[in-house]
Amino acid sequence: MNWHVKQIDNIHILTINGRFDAHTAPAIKTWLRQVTAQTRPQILVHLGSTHFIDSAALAVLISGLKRCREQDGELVLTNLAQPVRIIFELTRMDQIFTIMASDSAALAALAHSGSKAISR
Amino acid sequence: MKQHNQLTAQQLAALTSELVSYQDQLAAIHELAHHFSGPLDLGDALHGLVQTAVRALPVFSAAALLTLPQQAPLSVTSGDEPMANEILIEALAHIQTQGDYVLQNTNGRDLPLGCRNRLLLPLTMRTQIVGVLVLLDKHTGPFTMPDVKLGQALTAQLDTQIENTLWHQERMVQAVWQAQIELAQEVQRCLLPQSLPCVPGLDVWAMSNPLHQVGGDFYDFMTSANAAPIVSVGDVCGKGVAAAMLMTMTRTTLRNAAAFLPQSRPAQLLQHTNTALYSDYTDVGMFASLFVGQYLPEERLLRYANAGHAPVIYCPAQGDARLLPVGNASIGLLPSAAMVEATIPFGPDDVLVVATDGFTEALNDQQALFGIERLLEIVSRCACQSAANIGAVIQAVVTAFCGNQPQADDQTLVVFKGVA
Repeated sequence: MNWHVKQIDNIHILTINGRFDAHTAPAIKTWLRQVTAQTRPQILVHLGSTHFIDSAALAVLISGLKRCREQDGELVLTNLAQPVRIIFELTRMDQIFTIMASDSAALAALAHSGSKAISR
Repeated sequence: MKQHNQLTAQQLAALTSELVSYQDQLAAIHELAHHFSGPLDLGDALHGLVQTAVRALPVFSAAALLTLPQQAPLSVTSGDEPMANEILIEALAHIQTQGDYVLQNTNGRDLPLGCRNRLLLPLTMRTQIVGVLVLLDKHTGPFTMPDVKLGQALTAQLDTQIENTLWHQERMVQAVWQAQIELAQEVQRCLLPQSLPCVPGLDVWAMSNPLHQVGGDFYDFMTSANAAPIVSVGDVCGKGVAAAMLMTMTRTTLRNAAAFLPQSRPAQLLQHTNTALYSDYTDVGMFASLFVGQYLPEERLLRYANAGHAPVIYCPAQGDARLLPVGNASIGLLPSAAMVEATIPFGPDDVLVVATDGFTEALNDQQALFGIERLLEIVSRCACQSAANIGAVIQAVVTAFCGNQPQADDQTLVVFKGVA
């Protein structure tokens, strides 16, 4: 499995390695659906070792983001590697997501925000 | 000597009887195999199995139950009185627990009322027990191992018939699905422009090649006497049938906007499309990138708005190819987004290439991406050629780059070149 999850307090941390594409997307979509069914879900998606992301995978992240915000929660992306960052910038997805440089910064922001939305 | 001859005669009689019995059994197996040789529904096959088993063993009563996935259970009984469902279901549960035949010469103990002996044999589908043959009360006494062997020879015939029937049903489902996909492919092909538009001042070329029979990419040209010609290129996330359905919806919404708002600018068309489709895209968890360009022939300008689509490459007559900025979020991302647009000069020898990510994300044998830099380099190098040649070179270079790697995504390409 090239992705795994863990939890620190109320924050769910999803780490995706290698390619994040149509093959990986359905399982992560299922996981995100479960987590975003909770009230005020706080999700950190670590993309530091993700070297490729396709449109099916972006759709899963967007769907997760929308569901998070519907539930007054937040989904933050961290550590975008250069190839993935380029895709986010080219498609203007970087304007939609909250993107942070490090997990520690994202964890602090999520913990601090609690019920409040993170300013992007 | 006389006693010896009498014994030999008895043995001979027993051997003859045994041979006749074996011959009857072989005939029964042959008869059943012959019965199953033609096209047969499973109800008839089950009936044939039960009747043959009653004659071949022989037994006073037999029944069979078959429970195939996604099909109504089938049951057949040998006599006029059907065997109670509870007995058949209990027998199936028993044999599924046991995993093989069940021989019960118990003289009535633990057996249905009025029954002395019972033999249960499994009916299998691809190693899974999906039914049971129930044989009750053999004429000549308790069931024996040869009876089990004979019963297994008979049920093996039915197992083959089940396999053949399922294979036939799967082939039928595949054939129907294939016919539907081919129809969808034809519909989608018809939705793409059937010819390239003749626009004074422009040399135009376009292609679209889905990964599967249908895909989520599209391009479109809208020309009318009263409005500046419009080009659109879209890419619904994902691939295959789901993407194709949304592609059709997106193209139609954009066309309607252009038809009913004839003086609209690209940004307004994108905004209308996003507003109309946002909730649908959200419900299905998808999105689409969409580029809309409008050529203004008198001013020799290209006005465009871009909702998340990349790459869009502009190569001015005097200069190198560069990416045009995106400006807007993709369709389906934000509920009410005001779209921005921009204008670029588009005179003779200016080139615009709008591709989908099926080109830039193509992989080679070393799993390296083709990427945007290579595409920019090709456009810069070929910009002096016709639109069709630029398109052909891009296709050829990407194909050569990929080597033995198969196409991995829908690919769509539109090339505009300004002409005098």
